[in-house]
Amino acid sequence: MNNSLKELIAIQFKEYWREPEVLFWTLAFPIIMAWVLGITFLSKPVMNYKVAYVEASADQELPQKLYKRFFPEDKIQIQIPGRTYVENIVIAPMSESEAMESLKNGTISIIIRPHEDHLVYSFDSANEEAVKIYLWIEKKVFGKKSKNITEAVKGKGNRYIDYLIPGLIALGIMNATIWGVGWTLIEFRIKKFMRRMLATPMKKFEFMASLSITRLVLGVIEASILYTFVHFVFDIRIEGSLLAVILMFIAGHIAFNGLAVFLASRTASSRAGNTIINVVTLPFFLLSGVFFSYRNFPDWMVSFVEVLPLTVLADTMRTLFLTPVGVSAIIIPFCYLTAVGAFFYMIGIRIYKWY
Amino acid sequence: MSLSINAKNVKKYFKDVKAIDGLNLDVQPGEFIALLGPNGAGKSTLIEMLEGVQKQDSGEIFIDGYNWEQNANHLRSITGISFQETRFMDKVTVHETLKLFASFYKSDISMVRETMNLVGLADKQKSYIEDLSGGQRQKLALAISLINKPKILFLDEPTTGLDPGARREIWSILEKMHADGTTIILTTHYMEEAEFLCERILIMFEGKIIAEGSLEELLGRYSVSQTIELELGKRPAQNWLKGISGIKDQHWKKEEKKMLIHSPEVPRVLPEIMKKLEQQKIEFKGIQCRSMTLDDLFILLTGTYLHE
Repeated sequence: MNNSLKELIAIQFKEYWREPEVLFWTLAFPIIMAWVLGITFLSKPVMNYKVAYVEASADQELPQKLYKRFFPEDKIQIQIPGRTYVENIVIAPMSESEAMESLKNGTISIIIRPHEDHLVYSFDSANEEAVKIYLWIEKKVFGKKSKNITEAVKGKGNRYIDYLIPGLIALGIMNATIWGVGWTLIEFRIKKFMRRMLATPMKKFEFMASLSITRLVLGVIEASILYTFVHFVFDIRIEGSLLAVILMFIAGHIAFNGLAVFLASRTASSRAGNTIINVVTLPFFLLSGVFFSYRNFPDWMVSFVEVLPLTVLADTMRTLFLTPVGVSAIIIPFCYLTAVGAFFYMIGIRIYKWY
Repeated sequence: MSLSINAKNVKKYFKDVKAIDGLNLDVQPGEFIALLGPNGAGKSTLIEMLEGVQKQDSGEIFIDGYNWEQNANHLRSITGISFQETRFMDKVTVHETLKLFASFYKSDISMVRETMNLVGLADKQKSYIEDLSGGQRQKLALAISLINKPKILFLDEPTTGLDPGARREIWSILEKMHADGTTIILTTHYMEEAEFLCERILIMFEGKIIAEGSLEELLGRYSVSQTIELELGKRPAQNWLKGISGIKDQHWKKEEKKMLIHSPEVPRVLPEIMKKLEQQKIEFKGIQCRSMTLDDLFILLTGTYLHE
């Protein structure tokens, strides 16, 4: 290896080793994550995929008895070779309205209805999870002799896109705020521009408020454009209160603004800033049910995922988009997200490195 | 009238290093002061404490009669600061940047135009910061420090890295500010900058002010001598001038291969020095005798060059 190449490589490694924040977030944090997830999946956790079984009948007791015609067991166990965890398909008898409600909030992705001697599966073929469950059931229970048929899911708000859009709006709020506020704070510190402004009578509160307001306005514009697009192209509407949607938008912004200030509070290099923000937002992105339901995860994990700010925001947005609820339905998530934001903001400001 | 700056027994430590060591300083309103010193002398630490950016570990600092602990907002409104290094927002214009800073001081919008004219950036007002040259960026930094018409102006190496033309332009702006009665404290590596601009020069070394006064006072006080500059083929031995009385100091300039000798009796010692060169078979290439400069004084006082 020639000397200059060797020196160039050496200098990169040295810079890497000398940034403790980067070391922590790129080495220690992934190890912790891998350990937690590894323990989860090595201990043979069970992933339960619920499937709604709906039989049109006036008698509420009847479906429980009737589905046994098709499914002798109410649990279909799927063990894919090489996987350390078990996946169960749980047949859950439900009323039509219960099934619709579950479909909207992502608890189920597929509804099965009996028709004469065969079953009709209703699902959105754009939803990968639903397709997977359908194929598993067919293979494991009915095989080649199956007479069962599929149909596109009926009813407003039951398509995968209806599930996806509120989550994407929530994700947009998170990305715009954490990157917009957090990254700007880090960049201003690196450039010493913050120090320059603080040498004037500028109020720190005004500076922080300006970042927050800018990102809120940009977030509203971004979300409005997305909503207008999906409204005209996919006929997506907000069924709940518009005021509640706006309030949740603000609550989400407060939560992620607080988190952004906390993450940017001590970081003085772009490398560390980039890593920290990515490492924190990635689990939110993957786990919070934006693209697929987190309700199939093991129970303890669901309890953890449920309290993540992005999950709370995405779930509440979904409820507001798909069901005609008012402001009263968002009181708890609104307070929770505001409290999360305030908590992280307080800590962030307390330890904040202004100069 | 209060002193513009009154620092009493100020100390500042960084871990075990004494950055400022019991420093006292009084600056009269309207004075133009230069802080000179090699890197690590404590100039930036001192100026940042005066600016309220760093806090002293002990001692007191009063700016225009107020301290930073209780009157930070007032002091920020009457001071102007140009830091050693600041990067601005790339995609923002000169005019927008100045307008932003004017808003912090609640300055009238007319100050933006006035300041741009003063520093000569009016024709660049619509340019993005990323399109400015180094000198123009320094002018912008200076313009920001002037946007509130400060009573006291702190400038930390405002011309470092600039070409002589750009440096001269900054000097002329500072001369105007000084003529308007602004108190100016400037740190610099450039002797000629301090000589040209400042009424009083403070030489800092190892956290202390080791000499202060006007250029004439300093040279008069410390340089009863003249300087002999010998260009030689090699460095002489340490004690090569042994036996010659009246030599105050000698210093070897490695890069230029020049020996500087300070003496109050040049006509008497010069023949003896030449004799020593001949005896020690040291190649002699040239000679210059001159009055002592600030540069020579600095070497005499600190044993080092300003840029070291």
